Amino acid sequence: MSNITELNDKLEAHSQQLKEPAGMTEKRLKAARLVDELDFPEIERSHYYRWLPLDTDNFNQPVKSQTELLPVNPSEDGAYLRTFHNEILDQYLPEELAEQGVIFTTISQAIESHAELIEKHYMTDVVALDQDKLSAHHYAYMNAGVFLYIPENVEVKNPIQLHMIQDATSQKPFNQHVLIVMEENSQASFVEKMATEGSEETPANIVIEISAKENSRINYSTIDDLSETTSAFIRRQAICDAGANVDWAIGSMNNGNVVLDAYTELRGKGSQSDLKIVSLTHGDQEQIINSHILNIGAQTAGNIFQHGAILDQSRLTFNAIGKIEKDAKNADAQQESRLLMFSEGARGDANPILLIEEYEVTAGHAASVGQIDEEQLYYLMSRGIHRKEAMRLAIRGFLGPVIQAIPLASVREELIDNIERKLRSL
Amino acid sequence: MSELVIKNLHVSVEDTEILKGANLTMNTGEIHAVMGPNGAGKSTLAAAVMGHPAYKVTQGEVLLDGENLLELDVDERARAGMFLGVQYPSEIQGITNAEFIRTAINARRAKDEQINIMEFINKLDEKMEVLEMDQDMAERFLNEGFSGGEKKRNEILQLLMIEPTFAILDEIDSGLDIDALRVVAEGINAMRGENFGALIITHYQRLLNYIEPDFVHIIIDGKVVKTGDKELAKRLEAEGYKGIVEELGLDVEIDE
Repeated sequence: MSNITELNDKLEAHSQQLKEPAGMTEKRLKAARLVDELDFPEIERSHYYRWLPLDTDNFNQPVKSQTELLPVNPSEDGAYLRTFHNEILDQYLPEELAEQGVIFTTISQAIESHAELIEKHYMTDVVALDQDKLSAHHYAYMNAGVFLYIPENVEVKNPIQLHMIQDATSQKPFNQHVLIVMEENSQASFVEKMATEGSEETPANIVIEISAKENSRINYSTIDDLSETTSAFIRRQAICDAGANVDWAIGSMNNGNVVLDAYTELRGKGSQSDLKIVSLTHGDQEQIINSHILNIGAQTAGNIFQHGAILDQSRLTFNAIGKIEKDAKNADAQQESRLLMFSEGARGDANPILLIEEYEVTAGHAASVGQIDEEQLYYLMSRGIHRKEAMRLAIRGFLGPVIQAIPLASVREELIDNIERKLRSL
Repeated sequence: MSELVIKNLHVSVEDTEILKGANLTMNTGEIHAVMGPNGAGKSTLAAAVMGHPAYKVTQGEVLLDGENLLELDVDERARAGMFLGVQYPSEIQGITNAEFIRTAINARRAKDEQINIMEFINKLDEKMEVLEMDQDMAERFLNEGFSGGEKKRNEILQLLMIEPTFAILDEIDSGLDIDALRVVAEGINAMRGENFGALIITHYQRLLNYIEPDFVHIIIDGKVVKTGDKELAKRLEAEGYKGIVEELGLDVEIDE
């Protein structure tokens, strides 16, 4: 971008095209200025900023019309949204949910009908615009978004599905935003899939934020399956008010270089978060998983569970950070990170960090980097199962906890297929 | 008819020799029992024949119809017809019991002859009924959270499903109450026939009341020191190993 006025004009036009309120347009301009002033978020044991491109040119390129992406008929009964970049491919919201005030659509659509909710919650409750260089960059250049709103006391029974397809048919960055607001005493389970269409080299700066108000509860599961040519920073961030519960089950199955920064703040008394992540790296990709749960409120409980398998020449880093602040009495912070390596060239790093500033707490950690359990392989093989098949079964078992946490059988199958595909190279 | 011959088998674990030249021959159609004091090498014999990586064979042969099993990988030995039921099977989360057993059956079959799902389910239901197992055991993860008794029934379930030529059952009776023991024995007896042979390793004569052995072998200090019929097991129960040691003039300490 040659000059600042030109950039501002482009941002303004982009914001107006998305019909954003004036307040948001101004914030985009402010954020664009902050990008240069703020630092990259610090992530232990990684120099991801060396390979993470920050696009300021192509963010407003048009979406290529995708006639070959056929609409699907989801077999499940729950709310459903499938997007191609910022365009809706399929959308279904059961009448009952709409009547209860549930909103599930793109941010651009939501702005037309519920601008006040977007202005109130979008990057204000959870992720701050000036949190760091990448949050500012995301605010300024966000070009695709989804909004899920569950009103007070509403319990959604069937899982809500979101399938986001990145448009990599051009070099347009994938600066996707997912905003989830769980009002007081609401409940939902949410199943997300993220994949890429096209093979252009594209950067992605993705933010998924969950605001969990008092006594709300969300089970969030996802399969991240971005392509080899997408270099991404994926931020998942949640804040739990008193008694709220955010449980994450993340299959980080991306194929390019990716940082996943998962951060949950247990702010209110008695709030809880269970963060389960599995990852399988292959080829020469690098994935860095930075899991962080902060206990602020009393009687909060955070549990980080990470299992990863590393194939070929790939690299996988697991940071698990459990922090208990002063006065978080009777808080609990647990973590387990385990990595299995399957080739000479594989590189793995499991980095447990517990920071505790209060005495009356419980905490525990386990971390290991190693080879597959020979005893398990022996047992499987002693039944006649070939060594490679036995390895695939053992790895699938090792990555099982996230598979089991996904509430939809069809999505569980997809994750299993994804794992099986990658294990074919063994 | 098939024949399994264990010839002069020497096995070490972490550089300590446990088996010191064991000999044993069995045929299909026969049930053999192996008894012996703690540390005599009973489980070592089982693990070495199956090919556990921690057990190092330093000398000897194990021939299945003339083919040396020791030159085969663990899975190849299994596909050649061997089966080992163990006391403490591995637990594998995320893989259901049914999927595991089906994979094991299909591993023995050609790609175009994989077991039909209905055929598999019917057979599994039938065998689980023999073993008085809850139907939900099929969909539970392999051995995960199974009680000791459930694990052993599950080992026998695999035996009934896979139908090997020779099964070695390593202390499959330990820790079982009398009802479970009866059920497990029924399962093994159901396999009896001219195309199946079993080597049952046990501490107690008790199991042999339910599964009548054709031969009883006694292992002491890494060798089969005596072979007899079922009366030998009863004699052991009455006299303990000291009588055998004295009779044979063996120079070993028995820690029973």
